[in-house]
Amino acid sequence: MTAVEGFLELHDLDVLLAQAGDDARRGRLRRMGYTVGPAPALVRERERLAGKLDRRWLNVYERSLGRYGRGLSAVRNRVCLGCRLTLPTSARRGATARVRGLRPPAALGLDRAWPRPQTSLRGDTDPRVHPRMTLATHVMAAYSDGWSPRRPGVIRH
Amino acid sequence: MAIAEISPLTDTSLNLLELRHRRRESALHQLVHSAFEHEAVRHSALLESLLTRRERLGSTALGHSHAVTGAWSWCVRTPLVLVGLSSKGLEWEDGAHDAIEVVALVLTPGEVAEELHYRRMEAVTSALRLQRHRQRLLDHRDVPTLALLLRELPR
Repeated sequence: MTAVEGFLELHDLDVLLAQAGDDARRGRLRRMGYTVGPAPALVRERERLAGKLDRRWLNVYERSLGRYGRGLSAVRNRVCLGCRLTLPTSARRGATARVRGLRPPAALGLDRAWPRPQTSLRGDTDPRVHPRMTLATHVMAAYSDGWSPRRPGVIRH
Repeated sequence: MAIAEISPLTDTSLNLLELRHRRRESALHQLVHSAFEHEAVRHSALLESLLTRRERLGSTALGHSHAVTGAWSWCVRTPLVLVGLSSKGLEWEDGAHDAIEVVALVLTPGEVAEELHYRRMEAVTSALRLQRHRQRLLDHRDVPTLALLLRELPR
């Protein structure tokens, strides 16, 4: 399992645990007809998974999760889809620069280029056409550490 | 005078398939595999394990022969609703009397708000709640019928 897949799995687990633990979400599911019970097995599974991940990135992930409710965000064309801020070019895949002590995720190999866009031969709406996307643990905590402190109002999660 | 022929656009956010297996895990695997073939999913194995874990929180069978499950995840590329029909019936949970004939999988990308995922789930569960709607789908196994049933689904 790669680091990206590990964090993706962890994030999905956290979403499930939020569904089980949050009254509003549970009430909504109950109105749809579901019964959502406690999930001690999932909590244990989360602990086991978190133990396998890089402690440094796990700290950033958990800070972001606690503060914004989401620990992971996708980056598409250098724009973070969580906060809609354009990332500096140093955060590109393969960059090695340090930003205030936090190495950009790309430098740690945590981002992943998805397949390049495919062009539809027919020119119509094709579900297989996707923009290039990179995914990283580029998290909001990086901004709160002073990476882009001038526009804190843009952050919305 | 120019004459233009206008054909309706195909709704690519819906898909209908026939489930071949009887077990829940096999049905989920087939649904996720179909979503992966539509390039609506990035990490199919992760998504499959997420759906299996979701079942551990509580069964997604809503009684009366249908189940609606879903995922709001970064593993999802594009919104997609897959509906699987089983002629033989699925064994969804241990000790259940009703065999599941209709399974819906609601996939919502992680980049959209969680609220939208809940609205999509609500639209699908309410569309499949009525027996006559499910029967219509079982009688007419085609995407236009499904699109008609799920016309209220937020895209």
